[in-house]
Amino acid sequence: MTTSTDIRTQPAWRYLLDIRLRLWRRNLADFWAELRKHPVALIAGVVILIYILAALFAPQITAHDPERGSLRQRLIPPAWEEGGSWTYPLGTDGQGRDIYTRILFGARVSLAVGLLSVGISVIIGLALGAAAGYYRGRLDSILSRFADLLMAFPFLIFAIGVMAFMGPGFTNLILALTFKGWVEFFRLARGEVMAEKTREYVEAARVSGQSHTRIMLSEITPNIMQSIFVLATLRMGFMIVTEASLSFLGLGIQPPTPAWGSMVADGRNTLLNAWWVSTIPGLAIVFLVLAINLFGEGLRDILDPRLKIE
Amino acid sequence: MRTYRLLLIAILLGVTLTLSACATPTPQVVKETVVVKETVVVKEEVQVEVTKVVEKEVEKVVEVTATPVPGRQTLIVGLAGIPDSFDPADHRSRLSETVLRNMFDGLVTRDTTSGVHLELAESATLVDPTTYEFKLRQGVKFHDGSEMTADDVVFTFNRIIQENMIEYPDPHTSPRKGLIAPLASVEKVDDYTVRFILSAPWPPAMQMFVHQQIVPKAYLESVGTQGFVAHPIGVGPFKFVEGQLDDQIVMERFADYWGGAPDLGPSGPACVSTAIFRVIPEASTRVAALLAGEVDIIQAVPPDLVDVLAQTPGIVVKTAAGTQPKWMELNVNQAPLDNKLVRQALNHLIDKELIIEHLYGGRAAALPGALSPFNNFADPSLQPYPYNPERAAELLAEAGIADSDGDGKYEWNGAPWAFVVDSLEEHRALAEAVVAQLQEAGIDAQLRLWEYSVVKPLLQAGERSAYLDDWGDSAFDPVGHMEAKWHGVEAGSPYGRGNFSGYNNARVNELIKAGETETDVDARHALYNEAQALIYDEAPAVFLILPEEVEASSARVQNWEPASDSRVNLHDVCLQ
Repeated sequence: MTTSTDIRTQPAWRYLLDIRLRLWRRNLADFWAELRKHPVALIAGVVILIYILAALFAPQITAHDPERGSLRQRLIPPAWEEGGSWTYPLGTDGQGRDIYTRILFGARVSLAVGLLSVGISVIIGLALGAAAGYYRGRLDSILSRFADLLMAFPFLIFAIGVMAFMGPGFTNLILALTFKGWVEFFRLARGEVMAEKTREYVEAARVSGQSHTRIMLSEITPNIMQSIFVLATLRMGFMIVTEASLSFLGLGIQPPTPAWGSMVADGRNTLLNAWWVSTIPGLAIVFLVLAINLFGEGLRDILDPRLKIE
Repeated sequence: MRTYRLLLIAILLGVTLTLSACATPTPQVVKETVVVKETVVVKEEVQVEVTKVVEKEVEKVVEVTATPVPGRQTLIVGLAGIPDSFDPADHRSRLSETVLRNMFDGLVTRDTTSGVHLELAESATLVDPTTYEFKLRQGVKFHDGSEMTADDVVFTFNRIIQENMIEYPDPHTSPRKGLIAPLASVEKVDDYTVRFILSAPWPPAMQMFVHQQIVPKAYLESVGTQGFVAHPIGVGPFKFVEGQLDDQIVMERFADYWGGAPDLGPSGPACVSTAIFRVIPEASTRVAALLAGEVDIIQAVPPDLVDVLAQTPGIVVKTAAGTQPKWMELNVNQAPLDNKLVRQALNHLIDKELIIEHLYGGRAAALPGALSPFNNFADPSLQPYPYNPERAAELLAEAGIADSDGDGKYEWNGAPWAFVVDSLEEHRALAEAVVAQLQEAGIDAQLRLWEYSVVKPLLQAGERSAYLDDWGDSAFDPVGHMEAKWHGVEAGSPYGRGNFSGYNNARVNELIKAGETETDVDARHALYNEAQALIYDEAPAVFLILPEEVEASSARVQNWEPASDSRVNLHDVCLQ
């Protein structure tokens, strides 16, 4: 019986790819088996998935316009309340817009902000952190001191300052969040690289004549990605909350584009007579961030048990 | 027993504290109707208790104590924003005046509508068209006990009209100078007579003098502006105790108060012993504070919460005609808004009645043009632009803007017609509604909210398209309003200082300037009517709405009415 792994009958690249795929599949199977042992993380993962699907298919799920309503339909309570209707399942806001629709479209903003700001932070933090941890010396001192400097500012205050300076808008929001967001990843990557650098496999790679860049990219980085991934998940919830805070303050996403933070702000003046305008987007934030954090913690338990000591 | 002894000490302490709280009673003779219950015990075979109820007017001595038990005599007002200064000459904000007017008095004052009444002035005469003579009341005392004389009045006004008279924090000219720009000089005739010399006849003078309050010359000269704002002193019914502008300001009753404007309310010291102005910028927090009994009066009740408050027992909601009209100014120098037809079309596209009914709960009026309908010189023949999308479409078509490809959106110059509406956070609900209506009509309008200080230079440079904001006219006179909003911009002068549309019509400018000095009321009406008609037709703005001034108080608050100029006059207010 010949299999595809038979080195004598297959070209080498095919053989290697096959090994990779199998490994990946086995890793995935292992991961799934582990995840099933963490039911909380599993449920959290499902919740996140629902949010992602809702954001992706928002225009298909709802018939309303997220940005335009009718003043004649303003402040209609949710369907289950007296006076509510299933046309507006979660009620309408002060401009007569359907809150359910705005939550769905708001999920796009929140998830996009979370993914983009964390993604960019990871890339910058990882690149600088790996370089600093690997080469050390003056580069490391300069970057570390700069990172320490940024760490000294409270995140939200810093972001408010940056937004006030640059003006509101999506791009500026991402910039404001990543401007300081990379520091956490820098510190983690730097520490991990410094620890990994002394391990035997790195020595071996060096002895075999690999360049520094190659050692960093293909030897060390894959080994620290698990910690980075865990941190990235945990930071995503934080970024989403920060975006909501900035939008609440009017510094983030501009109206009428729905963002959960500004939706909460919209409802402030009607809290006493129309609780749903603020409360429902508030709950949307709570559930997403809670799910992300629980999932992140589950991930940490599975991927990187060392971090549990914290 | 130890416990008993402790309890006894505690009770004694409590009693001592209560007594010390009422330690300074002020005996006062008042006339009041009392119900006297006389219990007559008849000693016969049976004892019968007879209660006779007698109503009669008696004179009796009551003791007014600082903190009567159990009720308090502290009145707390929830302010909608942060005042700018403790110096009546160094601010240009309505809110500052709201607070300061309780510590300072002016020569004249205003009631809750538009009536002007003598306050520190005993009489005011127009000697000739450019000279006012004020006779001052005698025996009026500042909070430090010194008497107010003509010197203080002259000093007060010189401090405002002369350059760089306020030396703190940096030497600068009073921002209130523009409010009395035609005042050329002030002269002392004798200790209780002052003459005001105007550069030209100025019909709204008395309305405008309401906004200036008298400060003590000797005190200010000895402590300087820095010392003055640390502990302001005036002749008003309340004296400053402590506090900060952005937190709360505590004042207590000034026992030697001269009495207050005879036309308005009872005379004598204020009714409540302590007045506190607490800054609560968040509207829902302000309402919650009133509901919880933490404050007694709140300003600026949001329209959505009026019904909640009105339905709550023990809370009274009161309204006054508003004096902060709102509109969306259009950049008349930017295509296609430079076309009058386009601007008129936009006026026809906004359904003001819908906004008033649903967003303001009916508590607002549609603006019939450049002036508030309550302004003394508003032209009653002007009607607000009616909501008429068909007419708007005709006008736009005439201006070359039409839905040429039938997608429901207007095209201009071969592209979808789009512009950004700028506004401030405080107008967000209205701005969102207006933008939604423009979008509904097929215009790709977007909203952008700014900080005023950031957007103002951009507006003045003519870089923006449409700007939604308000401009107060608490004097109910076109002056302060017409020249600021609808006169062409003249740099370094009050003319066009609030003109963000770039509108500059020579005839309108001429009429506005003529109206400022015309003393004949009918002729003045004619001038302003012509100006209003021109502005209405040329529509440099979408004339929106005038919301009512809505304030609320606990039912314990007596003798209080909201004022159109947002003033919260606490002199006559009592707590039950």
